Order: sequence, then C-alpha cells, then structure tokens
Amino acid sequence: MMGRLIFILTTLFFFACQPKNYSSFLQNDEAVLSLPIVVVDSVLFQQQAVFRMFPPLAAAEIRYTTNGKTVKLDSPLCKDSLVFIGNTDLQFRAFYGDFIPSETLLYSVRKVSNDGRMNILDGSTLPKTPYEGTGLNALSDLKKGGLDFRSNAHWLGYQEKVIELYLKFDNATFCEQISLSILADYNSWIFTPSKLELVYNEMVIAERMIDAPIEDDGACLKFIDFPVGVSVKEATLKIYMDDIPDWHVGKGSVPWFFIDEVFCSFEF
Amino acid sequence: MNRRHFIKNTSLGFASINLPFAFVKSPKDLIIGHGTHRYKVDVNWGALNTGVYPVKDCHEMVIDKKGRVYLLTNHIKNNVLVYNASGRLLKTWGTTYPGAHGLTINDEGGEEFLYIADNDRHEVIKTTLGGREIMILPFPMESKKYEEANQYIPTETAIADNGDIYVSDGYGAQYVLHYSAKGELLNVFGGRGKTDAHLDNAHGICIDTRDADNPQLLVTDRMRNQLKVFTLDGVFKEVIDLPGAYICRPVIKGDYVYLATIWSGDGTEGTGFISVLDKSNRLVSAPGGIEPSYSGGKLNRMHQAIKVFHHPHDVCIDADENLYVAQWNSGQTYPIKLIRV
Repeated sequence: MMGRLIFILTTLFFFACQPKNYSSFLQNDEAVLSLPIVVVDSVLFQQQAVFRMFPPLAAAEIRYTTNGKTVKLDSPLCKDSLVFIGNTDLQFRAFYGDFIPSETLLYSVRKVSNDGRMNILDGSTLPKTPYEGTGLNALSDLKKGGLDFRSNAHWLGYQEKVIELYLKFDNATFCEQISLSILADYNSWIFTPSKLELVYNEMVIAERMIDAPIEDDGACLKFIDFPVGVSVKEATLKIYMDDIPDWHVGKGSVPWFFIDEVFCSFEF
Repeated sequence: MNRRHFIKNTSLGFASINLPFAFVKSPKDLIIGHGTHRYKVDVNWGALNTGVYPVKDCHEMVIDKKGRVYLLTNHIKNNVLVYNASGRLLKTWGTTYPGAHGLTINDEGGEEFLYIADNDRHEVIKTTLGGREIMILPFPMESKKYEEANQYIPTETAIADNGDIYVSDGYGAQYVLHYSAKGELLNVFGGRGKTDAHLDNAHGICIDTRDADNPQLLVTDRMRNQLKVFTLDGVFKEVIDLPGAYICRPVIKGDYVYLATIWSGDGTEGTGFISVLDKSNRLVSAPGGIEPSYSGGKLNRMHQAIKVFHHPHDVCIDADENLYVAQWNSGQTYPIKLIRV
C-alpha cells in the first residue's frame, strides 16, 4: 500500500516538475482579449437606455453585472441588446476559449429629470487651455464625451484646487440628486474630485466626500452622484481636487479634472 | 521587461492561472491577422540586455539589401541597433539623436543611406548605414511657414526615385516639405486646416510605387483616421478612410500597404494593431484587430481584438514577408516579429 502511494506521488511529482512546453511564439493562453465594444443609444436618457454589445472576436462571449461584482464566466450572458429604465452601473468582460478574459469595461447610464436642466452662469471657473471645449454651455447640453478627451469638444478640462460652477435652473426644481459626468484617466493625470459641495446663500446644503484612487485602473467614464433632496433655483457647485497621490508619477501636483455634464437625476 | 510578460501584464492587474499540471495543456500558437495575411507572434526576437543596449521608444525600423534590420530608438546610448533577420545584434551606433523618430532607407546609385527625422533637433539627418552624417536638412526658415525651429517637428521622410526628399512635419505645423536631393526647398503643401488637402498629425509619408508609371505620395492624417494621396507635386488626389485606425507611416511591400496603427476605436491608450491594405486600398487584414468588414463600400470602425500590441509605431517587412513591429511607449520593450503563416 505504502509502495503504491509512493509510486503515485513520485509519478505526480515527476509530471508536475516537467517544464511547460516553452515556445518563442505567443500562445493563445497568454493572449488577453481586448475590451468588448459597447454602444448605448443614450447615456443620459429620459425613458430608457438600450445597449448593444460587440465582442472583440466573433466567437467570444460578453458577460455583464449590474451589482458592482466582478464579471465571471457564470455572470449573465449578453445577447442582442440590453434595456434599462433607471440609473445603472454596468460592468462587461469578454471571454473566449483559452484566451485570458478581457479587462472590465465600466459603463453607466443616468435617467435625467425632465425639468432638471440647468444653465452654468458666467463667473464660473473657466476651463484651462486647450481644453475649453465649446465653453461652459457644454456642461448642460446633455452631450457626452468619450475617452478621446484630447479631440472631443464636449469635455472641459480644469487644473485647479477648487472649481466653482454657478448653477441656475429655469424653475425652482426638486432635485433628488445632482450627477457629474466625468473622466478618470490617471495615466493622463486626470483624477476624480476629493469632495463636492452644493452651496446656497453661503450655506452648504449637500456634500459628498470621495475616496482617493489607490491605483491606476485604466481610463473610464464615470458619474458621481450627489444626493441633494431639496428644491433649488440656483446654487454653487464646488468641486475640490486633492493633489496627485504618492503612487503616481505626478505625485504632489494639481491633477486635471475633466467634466462634460452636470444635471439633476433620479436617485435610482 | 520582457515582451511576453509585458503583453500579459500591461492590460491586466492579474495573470492567467497556471495549472499545477502543466503537461495536460496542449499549447496553441496564437495566430493573428486575416485572409492571406496571418501571423504567429515571436516575442523573443531581438531581445537584448536592457542594461547594455537600452531602448526608450522603439520608433521605426528598416531593412537593407543584405537583410539587416535597423531599429531607431530615442535612447541616446544607442540610437540605432542593427540586427540580422534572426534577431542577433550586429552593431549599434548613434548618440546624438534625442528625438530620433523617423527612419527611412534609400538606395542611391548602389549605396544605401538612412534619413533620420529628429523631433528634438528639429531637423532631418542623412547618414550612411554605419552612421556617418552626410547631410542635414535644418529647420526650413526659407519656407516662411515657421517663425522658430520649435514649430517644426519632423516625423518622417520619403525619397523619390529622382532623389527628391519629402519631409512630413507631423508633430509641428503639419506641412509636407519637398526638397531636391541637394536639400533645396522646392515646395510646401498640406498644413493645418479643414479641407481634405489639409493634415492633422501628418505622422508618416511614403512614395507609393505600386503603379510604377504613376508614383504618388501617401501621407498619414492620423487624427482623422485617414491616409491621403497627393501627386509628387503636392496636389491632393484622394482620401482613404480607415475609421478607428490611428495609423502611423505607410510602408509599401509588393501590392500591399502596411501601417502600424497606434490606437484604435475612440483612440484609447494601448489599443494598437497592424493594418494591411490591398492594391485597391481596402483593409484586408488587421493583425491584433477585429476582422475588417465593409458596409456600403465603407470600412466599419476598427478596434483592437487581442492585446498583442500596446502602441505599435512602425512595421517593416522582410523578404519572406514577415513583419517587425516597433512600439512607442511600451515598457521599453524590443520589437515584436510576426512570422507569416
């Protein structure tokens, strides 16, 4: 019995110690799938948002989650399209055979309040050259920028410790939450704010603290939702930026902040 | 960092799980590309001791008549690394090209010469294959298009059969400057603007000799995802649309045009692939990219499919139609060789 056990263990040990068949050529199981392509008809919508998904390889599968959990092989499979009627934060990944699954693609949509449109008044902090986009009006035109911030006029780029935006609604509006549509791209020194405040008559009527990023997790489009829950006609939105954190090559400098929309949204 | 690890690790914070019983796996060589242009990926070609032969950005590569491969990097310890086809280093030279970017080879009466476009020096330098400087084309003040040298950032050079030299100012004012073989400025065209004859990131240029009776210029308009055709006199002829393909310089081999494509889709970092156009300038293969498809005669937007490349910046093709891919901002890694299958 003991001899048989030793034989089995020796055999297993022998095979386990065999060097992997090493090739000069890249193997399928060393290759990483690229991100799936996701197209949505309207990131900022009033009725519904319809997603269409395209895999990086024709035979690859795209899976997704909406609960913030990591997308795995047993996560729901994307078929022709996905339809959402409320605020949704999605994660997508591509899977295929031996290939290493793709990174995670984050995608969010927000339901915009019908009368939640606002104007950004003169006197607000102006963006920095060359990222003036089409001016402050770009922040309330419900037109989203993409990851191509260098050539996309929807984005306004700032490099200030505090950015103030004077918001004015057409009518006094009950605002469940204010949403900021922003870009995070740490590789390009573009960071998220550390704090948001909504100020009316020199009083802070709402605020939100935001954790500093702890590592570079790739460029992505984000919404920062900011509960308000009061009727407002006008207010000042203050956006605070911390210095670039120590883990980044630009540590200690004032980061860039890129924003393309501010709007009232529903809290779901 | 070695390229195999760079390819696996740059896109993921985690690696694949290696099974303890590796012998049960049957390795499969990755094949990239489409149709007649499909390749295996050799990640060991040309790898060197980075402490002895460092590279920063590997910008461009050319091959001489003897099959020796010249790699241009902006590392001033060794701006030019010369390999044989199997990837053995033969020699290095060059310490004075901090902005080494464009590398073109040209046969002039039996002797081959190199043309280096240097971003930082704001000039083009002609050298022998061994690195002896023959001629310098300085900042073209006489063009009256520039007020100071900093506005002129040449990225590429193309040489016509008569010796005329074309320089694309791809990181500067976007002009193409046409010189005689002796360096006299003959013409200036392109520049920034909104018409088809204007350019936005005129990153690369070549002489398209596929129609031997009618050579013409192919000029990259990278930010518009287009290749533009001009006569040798600088008259605009047509646009070749390549949506989603942020192309670098065009390289002609046989009936095909090869282009390293540094970004794809919406221009996100790390999404490069290689583009191969046929004689009618249709994209027929995209190693590392999705399979090209056309709708109504127009190319559907291209994207990366597999993360083989990070920022491919140039491609050169050997006699066996294997490709060598130099990459910008890719972990200071050496070029990747693609073996045609």
